[in-house]
Amino acid sequence: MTLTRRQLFGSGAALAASAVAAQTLLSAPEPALAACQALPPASPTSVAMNRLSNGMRARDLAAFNALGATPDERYERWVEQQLDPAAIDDSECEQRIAATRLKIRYETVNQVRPLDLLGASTEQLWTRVSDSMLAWEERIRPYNEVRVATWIRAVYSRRQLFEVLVDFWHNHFNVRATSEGNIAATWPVYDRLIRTHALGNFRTFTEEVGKSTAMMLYLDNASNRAAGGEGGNENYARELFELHTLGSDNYLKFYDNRGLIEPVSYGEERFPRGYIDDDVYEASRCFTGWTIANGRDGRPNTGEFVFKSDWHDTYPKTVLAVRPMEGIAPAPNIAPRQAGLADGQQVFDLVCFHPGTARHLCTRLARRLIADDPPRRVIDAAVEVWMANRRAPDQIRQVLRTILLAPECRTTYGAKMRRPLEAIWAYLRATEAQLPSDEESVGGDATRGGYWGSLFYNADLTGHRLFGWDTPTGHPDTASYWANTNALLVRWNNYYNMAQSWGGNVQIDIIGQTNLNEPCAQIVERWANRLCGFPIASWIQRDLATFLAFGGDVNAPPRPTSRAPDWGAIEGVHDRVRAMVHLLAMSPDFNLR
Amino acid sequence: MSVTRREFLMGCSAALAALAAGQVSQLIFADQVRAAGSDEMLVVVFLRGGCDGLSLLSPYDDPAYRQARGELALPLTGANAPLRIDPRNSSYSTSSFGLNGKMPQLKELYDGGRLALVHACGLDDDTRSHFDAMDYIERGTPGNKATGSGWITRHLQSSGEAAGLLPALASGSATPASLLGYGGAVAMNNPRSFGISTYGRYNRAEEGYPVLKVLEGFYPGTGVNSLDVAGKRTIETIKAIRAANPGAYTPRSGVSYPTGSFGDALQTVAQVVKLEQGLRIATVDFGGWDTHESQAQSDGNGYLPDRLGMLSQGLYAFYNDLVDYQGRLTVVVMSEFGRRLGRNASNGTDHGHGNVMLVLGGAVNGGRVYGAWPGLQDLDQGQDLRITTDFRVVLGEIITRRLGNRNLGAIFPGLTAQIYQPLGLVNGADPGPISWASASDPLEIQQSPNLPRRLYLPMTGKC
Repeated sequence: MTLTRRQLFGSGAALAASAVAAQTLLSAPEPALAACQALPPASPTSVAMNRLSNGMRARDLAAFNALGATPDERYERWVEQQLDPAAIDDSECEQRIAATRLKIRYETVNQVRPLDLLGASTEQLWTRVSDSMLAWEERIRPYNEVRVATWIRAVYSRRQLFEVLVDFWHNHFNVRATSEGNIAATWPVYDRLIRTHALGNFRTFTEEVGKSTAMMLYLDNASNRAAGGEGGNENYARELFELHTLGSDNYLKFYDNRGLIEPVSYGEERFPRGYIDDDVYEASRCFTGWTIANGRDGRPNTGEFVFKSDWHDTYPKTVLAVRPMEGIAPAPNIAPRQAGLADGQQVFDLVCFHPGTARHLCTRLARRLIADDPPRRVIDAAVEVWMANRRAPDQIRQVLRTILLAPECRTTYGAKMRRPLEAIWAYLRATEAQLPSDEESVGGDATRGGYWGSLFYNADLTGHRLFGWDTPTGHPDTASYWANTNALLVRWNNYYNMAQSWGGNVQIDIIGQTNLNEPCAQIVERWANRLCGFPIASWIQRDLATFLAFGGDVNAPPRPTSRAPDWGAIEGVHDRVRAMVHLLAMSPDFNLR
Repeated sequence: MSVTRREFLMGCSAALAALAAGQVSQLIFADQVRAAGSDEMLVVVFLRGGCDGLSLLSPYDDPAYRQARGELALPLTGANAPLRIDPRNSSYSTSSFGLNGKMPQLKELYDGGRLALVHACGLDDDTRSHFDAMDYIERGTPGNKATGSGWITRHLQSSGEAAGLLPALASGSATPASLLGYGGAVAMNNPRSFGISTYGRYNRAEEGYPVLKVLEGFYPGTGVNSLDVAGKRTIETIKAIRAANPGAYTPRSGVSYPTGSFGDALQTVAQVVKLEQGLRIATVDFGGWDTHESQAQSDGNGYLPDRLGMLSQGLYAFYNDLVDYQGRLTVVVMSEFGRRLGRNASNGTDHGHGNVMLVLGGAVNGGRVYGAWPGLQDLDQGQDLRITTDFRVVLGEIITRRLGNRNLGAIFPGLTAQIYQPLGLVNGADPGPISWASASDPLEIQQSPNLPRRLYLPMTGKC
């Protein structure tokens, strides 16, 4: 049977890939090796700029290059700087946030307002929406302000690693902000919580997330109470085990006898090797009464966390208890009638200090920071640091240092694909784009001027929805999910659409940053370096230079065509240069990190 | 740097060897190309979050149900009383059964013989995790969530070459795990907007779409990575859609889809079907079924009933919109698990086990409930509806008798002739003896434990 390309393609990714394999085996090994050698070159610089930051930006690259004599020296100093974000002056970015206006329009209201709810407290934000007739646009305004601030920071902040990590934790402790009006209304508080603990202690972080208004409402623990024969609400407890801490690799499903669960050791400590459904049920009982002050049943109406003792199940519970000996089930390890939050806090200790949690979290961090399939050695090293610092206030920072300074981190490149928003932000950074500020109306038309709304709408269509992922898993972090036709096409179109007045009105001056008197090949090379930070594949540069020359000489400056499509007009060349940069952003090299 | 480079090289060669092995098994599959069923279409609707099958098809007068559900038990009278059906299945004589009162459209399809129901059905695994359960089901390997391809992928691969331009459509922002590893899959929200936006004068037919032409060179589709394959597929789809020139979609007169993303996703599938681009299988996701809290009111109104109503209206609209295609159309509706028999203290239900699957189509032996009803006395883990029918039996029968693919061993590794006892859900004969040979492609079945999804290698340039 003859293998045609079409047949192979029709059979999918694995098969398209195996076209190479089959040919390799049948002829010679060179093509496969040649293919693998065409990797983008790994360098500490491109790792720092493209993977640990949201992409190349001239100012940040210059600052990086000034940090030392060798790339490794620069990289190590840069990592240390970035791990102390508070010490980095970010006033320029904060000024941009202060100067940005966001439109709000409903019924008779049409205003542009500053982002003045970003610093508000839970009670202020909760009270703001206490009127049940309040328009939905007002209700979700705080969430929209955080979205704007997040975009501005992603593009302009000098604390780039911090922004990458904030995004990581938002996805790890995912809440869909618009799943309930009161979550969106208090979103600045949840965002600040994530920012406060992003480099801190995981045990503290997890408890604060558990008590947050956002998580309480999203995973329903706000209504978790002990009630006769009916169970409490398991939603939060289950995801605490499965997603936030131990992970499903440590899920042992049902066991009739806990005495059959073998223990694992860490130093002197012993833990059951995984969790079972009973752990979820028992933990949900521990969290009964952990709720929100919503004005009902004598609670104040502040939206803050509150413990409602008459909802709490006071009987003894068994959570992650270690068997005394093989075959013998352990006695309950959570005592009856403990005061206040003690039951729940004991659960947080049990899950957060478990070695399975260390491995789950370190794997996720390494997957984000290094590769979809992260090197085992780095994970092992990170787990050691994680476990040794479980009670340290800067536990996460120490773990990050281990991962980031590992040789594998700075010498691995291109093993991850940019997710749509990351690609869009990288494009904005590389092109020195100016993000918009909304206008009340344009040319007297009050329906226009909402540029941020257009940006969000178009970006969401990629499937990468900032604070908008439905399920508590957060956005996937591997290429297998993002390498799909919709996510690719929509990201490609976003580069163009967001610069249009109807698509976001982002100011991107490609022509002003191009010397049109240079040869086509030179112009391509400069922009390729701007966007990627390294010399991209020569065949891509060649194709782009040929396009830019459009029938002319690639070693001469671009000229308008005398007939279609330019009809001799220089605007034709301008469009061609812009289209060439658009193509660069659509190239595979730009989409890897 | 050298470490990484070497690692990548090793990774490449190991992967290439694996792929080569896969190639061999693919050749074996290709020789077993099915004879019939080539224009059959399957639409898989996945209700994400764990739909409460006991509210969808309810044993509404079973005392155990009424007691455990309390206020959540469907009202016996009033506007939302269950729509009683005749199961035509003797194991269902323990109580009356009815579709949710919000689902009159499904009642009509059931009574008309086009809709079959399979209760106490699902994934025969103890997991109560949404994400594990979805992975097990969509990868078609219960107990193994690291399988590198989806069950639909293996069906398409083992059924020979897809003839059309658009064989597999995920109606939405991304492809589900059931299509994992299938480079021919297209994720699409709306056919009409599936084109490149760029500078007009370099994006015109007159000049041969110069931007797209350059882009095509970037994505040859021959590299060992998923970005390359997806890039190529995106460009091919842009061209196919451009040629088909779809306008704004108008459903058949009298057909009314529900508003919202579910109705939109169904309309996208309907439009692509009518574009006649060789669609064979489509997936539609419908989320929002994780009803831990405030599931419904005692009068039968509320969140879940509304959602069930949307499901009913959507399926009815879709089926009637495609009246010219009904004879070769099968729609299957499934969810990762059912919900617990007992109500929780938040007036919701927590994660359960057995559930109901829906099979709709012109060749469906409808108007019957299939499978054995296990009753509500003997519960799984003492709390949840048992499973008496494995979901792979339902899908397997559609795959063999409608889609004409007998390679069930490759599609569902681990499924055996002992488990696979077809229920008679659809018309049609097996295309030949069922092949239980498991896929031997290591890429499909094995994967590094640190890599949760499809194998991905760095961009490799033009190969």
